Amino acid sequence: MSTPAGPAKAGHYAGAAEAGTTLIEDSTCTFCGCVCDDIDITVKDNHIVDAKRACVLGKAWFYNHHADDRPSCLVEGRPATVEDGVERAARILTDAKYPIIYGLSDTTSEAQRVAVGIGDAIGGTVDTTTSVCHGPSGMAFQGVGEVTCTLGEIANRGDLIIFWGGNPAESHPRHFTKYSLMPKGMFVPNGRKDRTAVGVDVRKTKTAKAMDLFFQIKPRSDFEALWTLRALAKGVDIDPEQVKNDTGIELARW
Amino acid sequence: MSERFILIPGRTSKQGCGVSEGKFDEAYQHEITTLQVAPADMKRMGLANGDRVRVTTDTGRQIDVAITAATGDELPPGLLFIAYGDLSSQLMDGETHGSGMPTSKGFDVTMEKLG
Repeated sequence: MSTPAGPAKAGHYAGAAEAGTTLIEDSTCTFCGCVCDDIDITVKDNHIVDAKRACVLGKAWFYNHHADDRPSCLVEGRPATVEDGVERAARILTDAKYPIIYGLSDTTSEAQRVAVGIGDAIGGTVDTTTSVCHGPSGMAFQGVGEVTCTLGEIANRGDLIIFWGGNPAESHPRHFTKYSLMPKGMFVPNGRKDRTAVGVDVRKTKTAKAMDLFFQIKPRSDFEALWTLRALAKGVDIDPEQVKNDTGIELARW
Repeated sequence: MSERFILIPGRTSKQGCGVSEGKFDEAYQHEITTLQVAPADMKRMGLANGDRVRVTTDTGRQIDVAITAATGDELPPGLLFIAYGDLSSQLMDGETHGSGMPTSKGFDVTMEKLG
């Protein structure tokens, strides 16, 4: 496995695998949050015909994205130069009373930075599609902060990995193999053997099968389960019967 | 006969692929219009694969949907699952609990057999 935190080489063109095709090594897949940057793309007749190392979601994503020949800019529905388009967009934005800049979820960080700058200059509001999904997370970040790290740190340091209410086996298929469970990292040289994987969920999903320990808790008992762990960490006496009733899991297992 | 359940919509591999391959394709449509039910619940309610049920949330939103037995012991009795898509979105309400995010998981629902 390559070092997950290593520099991306997107745009590095290598020799074609066969006549009439172009091989683009280390392309980045932006379908899910893993953002794998080691995908070798083969392009033939402006169509992606192979996406080496991509997972099932990545292959579906790459195979259905192609170069198109639509004009890069339209003004009043008619093809226009980029300069004219920028001019027109600037006029619309500066004439706006209360512009909102919305979207940006599939946009590069550099472009997002520009969008925020424009919002600042024109007195607008910036929002993203993430609000309708991670709205509560965003409020928590602003209210109490966030404990976080990169996938590279997880790959190189993570020796206890907890998946709580998530199912990366289906939603982030390379999470285990490239980032969180299998990789041999700087401080976990033996890879999977050096890691303990714990799953907590109400459903026994495909992710559960990849765990060392799995806790199938009662629906809506996440708070009680977390408070049980907190009490144990603090050495507080807790009632085994209540823990079993609240979480569906014996206290001895927590 | 209707019974109370908790419905959890979520992502699946097939749903994720369908987003790219085409939301009008049969594979995607099948994935997002099939409700998974625990085998024990199906047996108790006299349901078989392919039967249609009506699912109604406590806020009055309603869908009619075909069911299939959940694989193995993935779902405990009392829990339903459906892949994110048009039907699960129809059950989402406007209540955000002050978070900006309408509830999209853990719906309190009743389920009844149709026909």
